[in-house]
Amino acid sequence: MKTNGQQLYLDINLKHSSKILAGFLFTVLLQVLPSQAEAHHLPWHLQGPPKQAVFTEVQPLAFGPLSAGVTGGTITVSETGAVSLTGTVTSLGGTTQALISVNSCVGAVTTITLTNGFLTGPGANLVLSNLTCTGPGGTTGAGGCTYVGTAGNDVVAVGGTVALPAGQLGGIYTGTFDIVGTFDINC
Amino acid sequence: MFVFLLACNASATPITTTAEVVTAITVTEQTPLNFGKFSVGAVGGVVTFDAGGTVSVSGDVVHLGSEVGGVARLDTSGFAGGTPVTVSVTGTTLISGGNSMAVVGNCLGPAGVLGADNGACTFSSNATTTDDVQIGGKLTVGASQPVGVYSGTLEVVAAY
Repeated sequence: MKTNGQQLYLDINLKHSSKILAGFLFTVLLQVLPSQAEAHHLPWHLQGPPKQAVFTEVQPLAFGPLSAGVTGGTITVSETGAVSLTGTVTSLGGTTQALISVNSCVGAVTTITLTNGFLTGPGANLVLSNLTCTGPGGTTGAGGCTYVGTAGNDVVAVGGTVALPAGQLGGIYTGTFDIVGTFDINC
Repeated sequence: MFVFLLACNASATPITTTAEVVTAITVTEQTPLNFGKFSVGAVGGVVTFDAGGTVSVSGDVVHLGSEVGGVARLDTSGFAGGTPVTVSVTGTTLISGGNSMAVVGNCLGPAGVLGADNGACTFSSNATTTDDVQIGGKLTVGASQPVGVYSGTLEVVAAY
């Protein structure tokens, strides 16, 4: 018995199952026909692997020096760079939203997905959450954003929130969050 | 194969995130605010220590020069130099048995800027060592204030 899905599929075709073979051909036609109407956007399987989005960090997401105060709280740096605080957290400046350059797929609906992370340092990890981003054209979203690629590189701005407990050990904390970009067409 | 190519269309890139947690400012009392020893008559008056250390009296209060007292001196330490620090003082009441006298406080930071009564003084923190803050005050002595040793606690709060 074959356990590999792809091998099983080929095996079935080699056994001359006419219904399955017809279904396979029909599926191929459905994929080709709509694309023939868009000459500049050939289906991916006819023009090779799709172009892969490349991200370049222009500016990190920086929460700067901050103090937890008596009860702790949170600090949020928005995609526009605005800072908001909760609890007794005090910001001492030095905050920046992340700016990320994305190689553009012109005309493609580009979907950016952000994954929360954490920062490590001398004390317990700091949780990074509520990531938001804004793409070209001002489209904003929580956990990600969507925009249409323009000529040249696009810049995506990202903000987020760090929770700072009371009594957090002082020092430098660093970490990362992941950004993923997908295009709805091939380039 | 179809699934494999779709996966290639997505790329994950780690983006740097940073934060610097600074420790809370510590305030350490070096010397207390002491209004010294004085006498008072039927009028009463005020004993004033400005945060710079100058003492004065009003009314029929007479300070006994041998025990004039002095301003409180505090050390603050915390974040690196240049960080704005605010020290605020809240007044209190000195108690001796069932008698009391009201005190308002004021502070003088390293930059020499005197805060208002029961107000705050602001300065930039020192880069390499602690900052010296002086706390003065005004003690209101009632007419024929009962004799005794009066004590209390001024609350001083330092914040970034």
